Amino acid sequence: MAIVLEANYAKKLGLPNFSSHQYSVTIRTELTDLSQVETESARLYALLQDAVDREIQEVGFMPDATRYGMNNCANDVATANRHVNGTGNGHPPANGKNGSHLGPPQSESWKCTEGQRKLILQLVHDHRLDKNEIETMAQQMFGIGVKELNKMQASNLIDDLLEKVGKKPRGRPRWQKREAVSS
Amino acid sequence: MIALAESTTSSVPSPPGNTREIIGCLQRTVSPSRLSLFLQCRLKFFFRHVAKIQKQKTLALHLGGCVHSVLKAWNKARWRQQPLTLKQLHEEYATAWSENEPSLGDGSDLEERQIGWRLVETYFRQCGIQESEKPDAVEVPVEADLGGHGLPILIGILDLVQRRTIIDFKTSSSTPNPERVAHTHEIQTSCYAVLYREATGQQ
Repeated sequence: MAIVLEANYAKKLGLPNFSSHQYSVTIRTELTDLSQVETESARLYALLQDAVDREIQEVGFMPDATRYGMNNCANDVATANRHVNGTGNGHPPANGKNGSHLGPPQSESWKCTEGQRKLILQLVHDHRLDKNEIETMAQQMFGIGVKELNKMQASNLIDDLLEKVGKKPRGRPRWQKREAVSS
Repeated sequence: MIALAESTTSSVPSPPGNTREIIGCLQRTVSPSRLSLFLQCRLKFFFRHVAKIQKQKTLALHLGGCVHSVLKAWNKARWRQQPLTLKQLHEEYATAWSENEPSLGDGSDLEERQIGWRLVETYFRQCGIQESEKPDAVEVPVEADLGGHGLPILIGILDLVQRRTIIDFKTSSSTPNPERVAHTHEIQTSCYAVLYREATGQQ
């Protein structure tokens, strides 16, 4: 009676941007004698591991973490609204059509989100802020212009602008801030 | 814990809003602190975030908030290249302390207040950050839409980003053990790493 020996080797590896990939190889062989099991198992293990390790080095498609699977439009609006909600200001974002020299209506030239761009322009418009002063603020804080700010930097600038126009109570307890942001 | 919740409920008004709406909101966004609490104890999470039972503010929490206020002011001042003097920082601390102070009336609040200021002084002595050094971000709200992974929007506030390192301030009554701290705050630090990457595009 033939003895069937089935060996499987699988490996799963993490990749950047929260990805992972895995590969496995299964082989089935027949033995004539039980005494061959140990030797054959060791041989198959080395063989399969070698095969899997060689192939798994090819990672194939890798998603761009900043865009892949993201609903940017909805996210942007949510960002802007949360900034507003987090400071007790109930106004929706402005439409950004005021032609400010901080940037054209097109969001392509801004590195932050569309929601953040609209909120910055709305604050400038509603509170008659000096655009040059805002530009100077960005330069002073980050060493770059407003349009060059990434999402984190824009968020910080918005926080400062809200504080500047009195929309953010000074010294507000931290736990309240957290609650406001998470609500 | 149930006994504690019941005793607190008596002094707190009924939870506002519709429970279903609250749960819906909680499912749309998640913060590291909420996530940690949920994993720690589902019932505690329910009391805090669904039933919205207010936890009585402790002196330790107040102290932590005041220390955060001073450090925030210090970091913002560095940002604007208008460093604050020790006297100004102490005034900032005193102002923060006087706001919403949970007075116990037994003198322990004065002692706590001094402890808090000593913590601030120790931080300034040991943090290794120069006044002339600009931060990358100070107390900044950030978020990452993880909808593509079937997850809610992750939100959080980064206390400080300096030299591309995320720093979260914690106050403690005893000298912390680095390994234990890393383990205890693993969820928070992991979430912050995701948020930072999403907000800056940097690793």
